[in-house]
Amino acid sequence: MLAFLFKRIGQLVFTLWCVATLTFFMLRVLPGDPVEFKYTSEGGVITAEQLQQQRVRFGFDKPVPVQYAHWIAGLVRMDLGMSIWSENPISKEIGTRLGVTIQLALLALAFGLVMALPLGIAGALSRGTWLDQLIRILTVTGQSVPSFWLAMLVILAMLATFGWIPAIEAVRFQDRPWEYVAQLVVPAAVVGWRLSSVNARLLRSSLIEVLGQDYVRTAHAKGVGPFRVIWRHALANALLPTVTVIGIEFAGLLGGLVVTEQVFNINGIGRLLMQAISYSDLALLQGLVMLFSLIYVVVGFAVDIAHALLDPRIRIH
Amino acid sequence: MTASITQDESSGTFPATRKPMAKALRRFVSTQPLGAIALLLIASMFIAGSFAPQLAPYDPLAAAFDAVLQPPSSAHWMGTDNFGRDVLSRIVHGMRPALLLGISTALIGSLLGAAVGTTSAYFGGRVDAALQRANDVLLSIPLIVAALVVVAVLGRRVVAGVDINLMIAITLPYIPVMARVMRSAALSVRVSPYIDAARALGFSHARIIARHMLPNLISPWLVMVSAFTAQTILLEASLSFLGVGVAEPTPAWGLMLSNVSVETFTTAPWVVLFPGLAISSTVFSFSLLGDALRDALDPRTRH
Repeated sequence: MLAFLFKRIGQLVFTLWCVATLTFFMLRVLPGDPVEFKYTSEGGVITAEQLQQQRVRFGFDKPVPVQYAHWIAGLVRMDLGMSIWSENPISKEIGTRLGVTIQLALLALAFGLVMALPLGIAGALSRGTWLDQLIRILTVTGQSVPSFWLAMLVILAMLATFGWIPAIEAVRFQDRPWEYVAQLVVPAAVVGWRLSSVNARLLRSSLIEVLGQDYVRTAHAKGVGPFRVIWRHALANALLPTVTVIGIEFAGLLGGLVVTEQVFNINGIGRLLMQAISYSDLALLQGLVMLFSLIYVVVGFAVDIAHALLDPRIRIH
Repeated sequence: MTASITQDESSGTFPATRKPMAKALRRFVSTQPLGAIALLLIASMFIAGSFAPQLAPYDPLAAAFDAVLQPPSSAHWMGTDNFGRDVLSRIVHGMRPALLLGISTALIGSLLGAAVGTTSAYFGGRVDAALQRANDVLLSIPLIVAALVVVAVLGRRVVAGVDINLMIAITLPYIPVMARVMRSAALSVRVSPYIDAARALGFSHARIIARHMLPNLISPWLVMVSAFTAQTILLEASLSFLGVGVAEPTPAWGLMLSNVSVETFTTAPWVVLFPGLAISSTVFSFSLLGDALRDALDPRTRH
């Protein structure tokens, strides 16, 4: 187990280092100068001398290897540098927005699992029937509907039925807890619905595979009730691959939030990313890519550990 | 498979099967009714997209400020937007960027992904390990984030009416995903006895890959292209929605949904209802087709 742990941690650090190097060089080969863009984008004029001063301030005057060493050394200390646009430390910009995005992601994950269970089980049990086809149509629809459009539909539906929609302006949890939760539930459900479609299809196929196993037949043969067979014997095993895939899906989930946060006007990481792009703040963009990558590899790591703990067959190699 | 059929036909040992395509299509339609419906939908979208100027009742770009946000009527079947432009005409014209970008990026991406995945699976060992590590690195960045970064880094470059950089932004993030899918498909072919036989006969790597592996990877590749076209269309719509995809004034579905305020779409829901429906049904058709193709072509699920 310990060797496995060390090997995985090594992989994790290596992946992050590669992403760090990739983003660094990708943003350095740009034709335009990000500092110059900051001062001239809105029709501003900057002299060569002033520009040079600003470049010194942002550290863009140093040779590329020095900048690279500085970037990597900063990453080790969790320092992502300074945003070119807002001139605040990037870790601070991220810190103030990360909470809401994580809350949304976890809530969406929960929705994605809870909604997938009945669909996946029903699909597997009614394999080949009209119900299976119906569920298939439903899950394919879930993956086909763009989240930003679904968000609009949900808002329209809420307005039509309740005559009310969650407030668009930011609400703090301490002030109005219910409104705060209501604001998160709708976007999380929108993202979660998509996730549940993916999960339901996965669960269906892995459940079909498990239901054909000998131990399920044994359980039936020794007189275990059908409900218990599915719940205890089949589902427990079929959920394992689904849980594993969640690690991979988590990246997609965060990506989905980038779009959803725009629609619901939520000031999270996705919002920050779009701001970084519209202001061409490459330093901030670089920091955000690192953050997404970090979340992805850490979640993947956690899922692997959980998988190894749950499935005794993994430990052998 | 194709190779053997042509050989049999040329040598004349077999009564030549006329139109194997038509036969395959007939079987597909009868065993996969949902897939057939999807195929029909896609075909009609292609026709609508090709004849957009003839089919659209209005000029998709013509603003009419005396007719803004009109509800659906006999003159404007899907109403008008906040510039008074006909929503139906914009949707019909929007089929072009959606299909063109979606299919071309899925094709290019899947070819590159197949090349990487097959190489990885065929050579195994260090080559495989190195390519897989590179894949891991690229996969750790969410698709849409990767696409956004590419857009931000490259900016726009329109050549002959096509935004090349947008195409790159949509294609690049999918290559590692496609490489992974193709690698697992190629791995199962790689262990087949006929590959061993080809190696024992001393054929070159290139020949074995081209003549023995790739023909057997056509079915998983076809499934992948269809499934990924759904994804690339969705990604293009998302990018356009975020304002970094297809540029105004080109009518694109994602663009039609972007910058629509809550006030606008709650009072004039047709402005967002129909473009969203267009995206969803197109993506739905390609996903369903991919699904049906998988069932029809995968020997393990074929009854």
